[in-house]
This record gives sequence, structure tokens and C-alpha cells, in this order.
Amino acid sequence: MVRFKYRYCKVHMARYLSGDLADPARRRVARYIDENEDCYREYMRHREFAQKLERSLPAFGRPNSQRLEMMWSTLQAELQAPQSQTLWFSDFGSRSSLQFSYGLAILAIVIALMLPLALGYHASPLSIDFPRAPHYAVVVRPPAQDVSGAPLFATGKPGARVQTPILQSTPAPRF
Amino acid sequence: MTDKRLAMREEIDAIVNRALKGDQTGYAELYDRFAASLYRLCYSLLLNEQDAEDILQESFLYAFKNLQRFDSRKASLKTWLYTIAISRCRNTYRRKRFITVDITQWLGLELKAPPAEAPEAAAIRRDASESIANALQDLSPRLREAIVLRYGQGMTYREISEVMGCPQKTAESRVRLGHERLRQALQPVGLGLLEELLRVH
Repeated sequence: MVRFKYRYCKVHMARYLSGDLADPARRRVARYIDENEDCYREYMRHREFAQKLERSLPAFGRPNSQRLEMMWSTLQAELQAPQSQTLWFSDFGSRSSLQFSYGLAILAIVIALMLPLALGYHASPLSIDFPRAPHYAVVVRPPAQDVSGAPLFATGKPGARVQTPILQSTPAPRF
Repeated sequence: MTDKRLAMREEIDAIVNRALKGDQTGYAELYDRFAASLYRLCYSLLLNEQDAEDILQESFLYAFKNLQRFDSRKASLKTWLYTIAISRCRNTYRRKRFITVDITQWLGLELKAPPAEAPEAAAIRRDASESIANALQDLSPRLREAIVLRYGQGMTYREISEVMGCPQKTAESRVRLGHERLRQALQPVGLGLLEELLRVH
């Protein structure tokens, strides 16, 4: 039970000290602090350190006013610069430089992969020589003619002849 | 929200409206109000003066150019600006990975001792600042953000969660963990050094 109280206090101490804890939990932590020595020690330790941090961290990295004024001048100049120019510099030099680098890398990879295709399939060292299927040519003969010279078509009538295309196997061209 | 906070928010909204209507003094006023705290935030996270300045300028540039996108019903201007700055700081972490701290540079510029100060006092202060910077640097970026927002900027857990883009519970546990780690890191050198930092400014 003592360990549970201590753990409970430890978990909720930061919010207890900052006043962000809900009423029931706050009362519970307060009771444990009163009842348990370890909880009290934890409370004191936490409070002392939190107070020191709250006082000293705002002083960490405080800029001087001259520096801020200089930055304001630069900022004003950038704000007044033409839109396109400003966007280019701000985007290039800052947040999207990483994206730009990645984009450039991807573009380089794509170009490297596309280059053999652009130079010619057979010159490519990466090309795979698949076995070629035989080429088929479709030869259509002129329609047959009857005795009078009129062409014969498939009309579905008895006696009519149907001309079908003839498939001829031809060897594949050799390069 | 307390009356004081509400009044301040209304005041800032009025300045934003002025700026949006093209009043240049509106921009200047917004800069004056937030630049110092935003710089401190960036500096505490990046521990590098030049990077902090760059991020500050980029954040303001972005914010001013996109001021019409700011919606005061969703968040305060402070939270919005901090969100912009934090996201840029995160980009910088990713770009750099290993943050290098030029201790001599920032000690010389930021923690300059008064001219009449004894050399021993200056040395103690230097040690204090160095220890705090090291302790902050040892924290993971997320824990550092939580600690800096909570103790350095005095934000509530709700505001921290908005700025960090995480649930409030996560923000609370990050503050707790960061607090614990920072205390462990500073324990060997003594917590009194935090007081030394206060004397510098």
C-alpha cells in the first residue's frame, strides 16, 4: 500500500504542484503527502526543483534587444521583398530544403533508371534478353470473284463463299 | 479562461486585425510581443544561437505572410506561433541529428559577466550554464520541448499539447519524465547552479 501511495504521488506530483489536477486526485495526493513520509519527501524534492526550473529556465537564452532589432530589420526587408523572390529564398533555405534534397535524389534515381531506355533498349546493360515470340503476319487476299467478275461475299445465302484471312507464320526479324 | 487572459487575447486579436488591414505597426507590435519568448524557445531547444535566429525569422516570416489563416477561435496567437516555430525546430533536429553546441560562443554572448565581476564568479556561472545546457541536451527532443514549454515558457498542459501536437496526457507524462531526467542529470553538480543562472541576467 505504501509503495502504491508513493507511485501515485510520483505520477501526479507535477500536475499537483502546477494546480492542474482534478479535485478528487488533488485531495488524494494531499492526503498521501500528509500520511506518508516518502510521499512528503517526493513532494519537497519535486517542488524545490520545479520552482528552480520555473525561475531559472526563462532566463536561459534570453536575447538582447539589439539582436532582436537586427532580426526585425532583416525580417522587414524580407517581408517587403517581391513575393516570388522571398518565397524562393525562404523555401530553399529553410523548411523545405530537406524535401528539396529528397526530391532531387529521387529525380536522380529516376533519371538513372530512364537513361538506358532513352539511349536505346539494346545499349542498356540492365536490359534483359527475353526469348522472342514468332511474329505472325495477317495476309488478306482480295475477294474472290465469280465468273462475271463480281466479288463474292459471305451473305449467308447458300452457295456464297466466305473468304477468311490466312495466318502465316513468318520468322522474327533478326537485328 | 481567466479575465486577464481573455482581455489579452482580445487585445492581440485587435492587433492582428490591424496588421491584416495593412497597418505596418501591427506587425511590429506582434514582433515586439512575441520575439523574445520565441527566441528563448528556439534557443533552449536548439542550443545554438545562429539556428535560433534563423528559426525565429522563418517563423515570423511564415506567420506574417499567412496571418489571414490564423483563427483566434481555434488557438491563441502565441500557441500558433509556437507551433510554427516548434515544427521548424524539429526540421532542424532532423537535419542536424547531432546538435553541436558552441559553448564558448553562447557563453560569450548570452551569459556575459558584468565587467566588475570576479573571475571566480564568472567561472562558476560558466560551469552552471554549461551544466544546464548539457542536461537539456541529454534529454530527447520531445522531453526537452515539454520541459522548455512548461518551465521556460510557463505554458499549461493544454497549451503544451496543442503546440506539440499530442494528447494532453502525453504532454503531462513528457513533462514528468523530463523533469525527472533533468533532476537526475543536475543532481551530481548540485541544484544550486540553477540559481547561478538567474544572477547572470
